[in-house]
Amino acid sequence: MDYILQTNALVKKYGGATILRELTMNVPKGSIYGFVGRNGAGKTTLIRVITSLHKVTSGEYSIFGIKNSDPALAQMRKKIGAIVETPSIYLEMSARDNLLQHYKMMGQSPDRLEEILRLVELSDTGKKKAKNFSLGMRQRLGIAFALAGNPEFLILDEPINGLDPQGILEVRELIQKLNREMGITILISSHILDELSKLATHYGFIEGGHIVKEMSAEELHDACRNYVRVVTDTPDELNAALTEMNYSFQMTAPNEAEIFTPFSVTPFVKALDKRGVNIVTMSLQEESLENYFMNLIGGNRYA
Amino acid sequence: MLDLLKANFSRAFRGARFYVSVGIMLFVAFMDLFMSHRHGYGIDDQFMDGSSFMSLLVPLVAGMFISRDYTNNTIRNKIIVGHSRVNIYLANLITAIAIGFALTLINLIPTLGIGIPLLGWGDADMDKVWICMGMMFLLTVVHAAFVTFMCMTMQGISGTVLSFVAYYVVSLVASIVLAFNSDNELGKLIIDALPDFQFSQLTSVGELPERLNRFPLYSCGLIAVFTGAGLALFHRADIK
Repeated sequence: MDYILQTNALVKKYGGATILRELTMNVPKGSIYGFVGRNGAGKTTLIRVITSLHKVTSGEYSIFGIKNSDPALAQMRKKIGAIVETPSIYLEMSARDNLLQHYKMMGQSPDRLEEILRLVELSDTGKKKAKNFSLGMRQRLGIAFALAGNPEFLILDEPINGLDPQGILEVRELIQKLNREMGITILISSHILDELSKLATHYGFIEGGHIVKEMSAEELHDACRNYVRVVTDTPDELNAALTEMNYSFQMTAPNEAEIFTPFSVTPFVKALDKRGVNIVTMSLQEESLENYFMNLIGGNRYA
Repeated sequence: MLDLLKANFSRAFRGARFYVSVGIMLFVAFMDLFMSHRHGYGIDDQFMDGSSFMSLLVPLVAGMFISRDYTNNTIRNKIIVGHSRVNIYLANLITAIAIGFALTLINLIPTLGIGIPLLGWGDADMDKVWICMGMMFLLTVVHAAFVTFMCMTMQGISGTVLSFVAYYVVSLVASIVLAFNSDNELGKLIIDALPDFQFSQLTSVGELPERLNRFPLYSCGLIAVFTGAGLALFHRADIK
């Protein structure tokens, strides 16, 4: 698999505090990578490190396969767009002037200026200054900045924080469009898991400055899907019966199975009974992304 | 670097602060002309008066220009797209110098352009005039280097405020020290090295300052210290 971003044992310390602890993560090319963690877990610090705003204490990272110690990375950074915490825009300028200024700073001609303004739906804001924009409009202008250099990799730090439902919908649709139609790899950090689950194709879970789990959306879906936990005193018969019935299941303990294939209880129990299976207990288990994450970080500290 | 300068220049020479500063420098120029005309002086005694405002206006315009990059967080954009920190710092320093020079010229052009035909030049030695003008521009660079250092290392509006305050606090403390050390080497160092005291000597009527040859050395030394320290601190700083 090709990776846009890989970090290897990254450490970031401020004074005596260690914020990133041997952090290793891999962002696949073409993915929308949901970077999940509670407030203070180290999401923004990692983003600041990989965008070069903060210096690495130890460890390394590579973007587009180029290590952070390689001077060639500076040139490749033009292919990165990022919003770190809040959109970085000139409040006293209009959307168009803001983008023009950004193009000048990048040394590029503003050929795609109108196209980008239309894409983020700010083409009709005229001379209205950014300081008079709503939070959603500022966020979209920040995304326009990030898109100005035709990025291959977009880093969005909490892009839906503070947005109203309409703003969240707009930003979500824009992110999906950028990923699907333009093939941009997107790293998106958030602690709003429900929203992330509508976007992400891959996930990285961070806790205490360390990645505790990386997985694809499919893997997460499998991990989070509803299942029936069956406890039996005839595990061999149960295993054989479920295999014969072509059910999706896994034996999680010597006398316990988790069954993922949906079924009606009465015919299911009759079928097992016919095959000599004795069921002790049977319970429906539901796991949301929130539950999964809380279990992963080992407690209910998530907020 | 050129891209940064283009972007800086397109932003620096517009906005209320710059135009207010232009207004102040023009007002000072015309006041000088008026006072010289009223007292019958030649323009040679007055033409450098406007430069005394540089310690106020360079922090106001250039300092706010640099600080605004931090308050808007737009400094992040420059780093994210791959501009080196050295280039970002030097581009801001060059912009601050350009702002200082522009304001100086805005004062000098009407002062000399109207003053010489209207009031006459006076009897000043042209060698002294050229030396003083050169030193005046060098002092503007010192101001710009100091303001850039403060704003780039303080990362925000506090840099602008502190560069205002620091300039006057240093001058005040130096005056007190000078009161007890006027004749010794420390006193000479203060008088010759600090921009405020250099300026006083350059604008005083009469002969050129006794130790004039030291002035550019001290000024260049200050520029090197501020810029070197600023670059070192900014290079390793974590940007908010």
